[in-house]
Amino acid sequence: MGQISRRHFLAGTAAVSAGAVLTRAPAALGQQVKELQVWHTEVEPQTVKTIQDTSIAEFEKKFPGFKIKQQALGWGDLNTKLLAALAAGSPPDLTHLNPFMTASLYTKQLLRPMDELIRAIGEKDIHESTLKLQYFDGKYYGVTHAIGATYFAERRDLRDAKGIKPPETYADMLALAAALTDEGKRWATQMPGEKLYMGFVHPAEWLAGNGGGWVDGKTWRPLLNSKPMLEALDYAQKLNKFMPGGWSGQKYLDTLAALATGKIAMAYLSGARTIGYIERYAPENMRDSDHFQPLARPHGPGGKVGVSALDGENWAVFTQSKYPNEAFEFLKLFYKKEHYIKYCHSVPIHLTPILKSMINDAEYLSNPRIKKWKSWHDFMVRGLNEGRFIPLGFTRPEDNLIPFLAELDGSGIVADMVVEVMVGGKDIKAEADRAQKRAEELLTQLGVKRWS
Amino acid sequence: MTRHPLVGWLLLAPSLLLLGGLVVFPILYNIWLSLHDKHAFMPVQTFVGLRHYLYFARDVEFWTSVEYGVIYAGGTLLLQLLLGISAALLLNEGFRGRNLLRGVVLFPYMIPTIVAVILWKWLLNDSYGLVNHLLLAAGLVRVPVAWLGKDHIMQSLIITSVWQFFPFVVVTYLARLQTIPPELYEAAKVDGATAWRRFVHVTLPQTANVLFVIVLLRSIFMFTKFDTVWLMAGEGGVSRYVRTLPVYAYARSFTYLQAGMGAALAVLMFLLLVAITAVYFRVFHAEEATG
Amino acid sequence: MKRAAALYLGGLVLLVIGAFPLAWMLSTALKPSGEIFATPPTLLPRTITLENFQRLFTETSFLTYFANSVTVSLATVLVTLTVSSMGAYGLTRFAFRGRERVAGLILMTYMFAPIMIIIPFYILVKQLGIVNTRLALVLSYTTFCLPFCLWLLRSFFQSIPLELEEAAMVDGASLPRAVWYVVLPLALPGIIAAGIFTFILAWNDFLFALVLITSEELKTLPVGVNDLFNATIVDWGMIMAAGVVITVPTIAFFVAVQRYLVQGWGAGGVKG
Repeated sequence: MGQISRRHFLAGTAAVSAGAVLTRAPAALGQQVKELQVWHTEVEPQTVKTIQDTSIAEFEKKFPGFKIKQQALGWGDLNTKLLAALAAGSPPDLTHLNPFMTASLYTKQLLRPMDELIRAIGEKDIHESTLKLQYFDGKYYGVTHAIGATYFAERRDLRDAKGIKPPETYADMLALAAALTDEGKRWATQMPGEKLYMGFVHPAEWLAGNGGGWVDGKTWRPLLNSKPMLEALDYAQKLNKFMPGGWSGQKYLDTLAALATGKIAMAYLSGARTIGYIERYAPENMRDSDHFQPLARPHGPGGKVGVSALDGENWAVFTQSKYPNEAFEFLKLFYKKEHYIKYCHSVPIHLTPILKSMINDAEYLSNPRIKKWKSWHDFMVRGLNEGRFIPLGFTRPEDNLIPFLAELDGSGIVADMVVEVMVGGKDIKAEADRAQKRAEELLTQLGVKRWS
Repeated sequence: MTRHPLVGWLLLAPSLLLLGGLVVFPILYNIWLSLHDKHAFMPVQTFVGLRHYLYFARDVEFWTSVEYGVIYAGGTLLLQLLLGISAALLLNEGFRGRNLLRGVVLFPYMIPTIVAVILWKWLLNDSYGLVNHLLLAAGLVRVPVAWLGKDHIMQSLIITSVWQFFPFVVVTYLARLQTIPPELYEAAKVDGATAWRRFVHVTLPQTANVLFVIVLLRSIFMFTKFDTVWLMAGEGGVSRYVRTLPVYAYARSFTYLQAGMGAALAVLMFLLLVAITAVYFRVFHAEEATG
Repeated sequence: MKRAAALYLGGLVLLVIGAFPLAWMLSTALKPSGEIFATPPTLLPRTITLENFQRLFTETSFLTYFANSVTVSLATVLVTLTVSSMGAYGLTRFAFRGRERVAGLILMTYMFAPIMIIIPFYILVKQLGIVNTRLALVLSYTTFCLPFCLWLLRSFFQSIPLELEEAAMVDGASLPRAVWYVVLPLALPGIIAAGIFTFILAWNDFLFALVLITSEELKTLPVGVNDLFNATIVDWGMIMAAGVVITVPTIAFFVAVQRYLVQGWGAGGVKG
């Protein structure tokens, strides 16, 4: 028999002891204390800290024996982890979901109803724009954590200097874009290059503002080559001329930086996060709402009013969650006024409360950033009341019941079509027909085909 | 007595245990999953046999992703080899500052992929990037090049990947160069051979074995590379122009949410590599059985 | 003289390729926010500031991530080199039936893209009860590096003539001593190369660290840096600062160790 050399023996021992050391650290925890896994997408350090210091602190005091482990993740990362967790049969106790994904999970019986929680928060106090988003078959399966409207963010001073009114139709918008583009020095606008935005959220907005929809309401047949979509694609193709050439390779946050530093006159997708960029990167004398203002989207020939996306992930608890009751108790504390105000203030205006009582509350409005940029806040409140916002990725309110929007978005079918039309300059009808075919095939594969 | 075959197995046992335990199961799971229809959210699946494979055989996206994968892997590999071998030859010579340079050349390899991608996206940014600034200043281009746009994204991806991974070729090739007995070169010089002939007749044959392995391993590595491609262009509109097979497989599982189909793509990728490797071995008559 | 000139020119090109992006990264890390977006971009910062580094250390758990990455990567190297050198030696120096077949199977495990393994791997790790441990990371990285290291080391062992060991044993050394004093020094360059590869793979991995680790205290650098990129404002200065802090010590380490590597690489009486 061979002898194991001393070197190998020593190395082996070292490896084993290393292994013992490496596992020691977390093994200490977890025996007596029960841990709730709470995942969300608000990655700002100050938001994470606020949640920890307010709702989590009170929860852990009220329920000794339970600890909450919160994880803040970007949406893509959360999606990956969620899929792994679901596959292993151990989803988190509480998580954020994209609203267009929730129906898909509901139809697979993976979510728990939360009617009692909604009543505890105050069914009548929750803003109508988000109350029924996760209302399926008579029960509530989700509650939005906060809402943030999106819109164009424009250099008001530049538009005023040209004496142009806010654009109402596609034609108006194209004219404005032409006026604001200064060859080589500044572009009119820039769309985010991420598939989620240019390939799903914005097409949804176009359809919503042009009398269209993703699918036929009854048969669920895709409408990717319908008239509203073709008109929107034509608009997008023309708008592309006024955007920087490399826009499809850049990100949403890059567009905000471009706005702040004057490379573009309007950020196509903007929420209150833009304010942060303005305050950090814009020239010192321009960091105010005289220079930077929200601007509503134009509508298409088939629509009456331009619509933009309302961002707001919803909390959800899974059927398989380990501690569902505690998760609901935590949420009750989350929405408690004293905690919820601090949460919303951690990223002002971007996190607007879903509770009507709070949106106009003096204490809420006394936040310095909200005060400084009050016109942005007012714009959102007005838009909410006038119905100018629609949840991210939806084309009509009923879209919340469609159980395959996540898959449609994820497939990139629409994104491919948009990029070929806008950047590739290809024929609109041909690309739309191709996307239609791919979408019909996808939905058939998913087993949701209802048309014949 | 000490060359007992059983000792060979014993020495190999830990490797086999780890691989068998941690990799073989996931691979078998994938193969099993590829024969089923499974939505990524659901723990249930229905058996569909070879349906996914037949679908992909006719799927335009699949063949496009294979094409992109070959372009990406082939392009990166070729340039990595050229750059890496030249650098290794250079660093094999003696000159002042060589040791420092050996350390510096490792730098691209050291940084986490995400930082490398961020760095290059920053350099290639069409508005603020240094590369465009230099090109414009030198008069080589008249308008800023959209490096990350559809026309050049594949090139940008290849540049980033070559930059990031060529040091590995340097290190491995240099390691082998260092062990070539200098007498072989002396003998060749005595015979009047020029530097080029010395390279062809001494260096190449001596390093053939390691070169074979480098090309093999690097090709597999680059063909299955996911993170660089994904981080650079995966979630953007331009992704359709660099959608290599690993990215497509990931998309089918994690974003289309069709887990069974994604698994089938993984298996197809695997089979492709096995086939190509088999050909590679045959062509290059590997396996000088020694020891 | 032409030769020296060619060498220095080549060296310069290499230096630029390797070091220039590093210099750019360093330069950006030292600039204040306003200057980062300046057009035309400035190579040398007009104002040098350390605020990006300061914010990196005080506002994020960067140092924790750094420590975790170092621990996990070094542990992986240790385990992988041990296991793979043993295995490679076994594969090359012992004639047992099915040897080539096993080597081929090992290579095949390398051909399965890690990205597709993540979900079943997670399930497996959960069953073993080691989710959210650094051990899980070490095990996963080791498994991914093994096929590569086994094949690489096999190649190096194969190029070392068997006669050398036999000669040592004829002189009275036992097999382990022969291996330790004769074979390993000659294979050392290959072992070092394999070690570097393993270290980098462990150092660099994002996906497995993302899925397997849930605690903030156990996160590794790639996950931590990725978080920076997801923040409300993409803080280029801070990200570049993170890049500098990640790479400069590692490079310094390798440059310092160069002296010993030269010995190692040059061992066996060859060019150095």
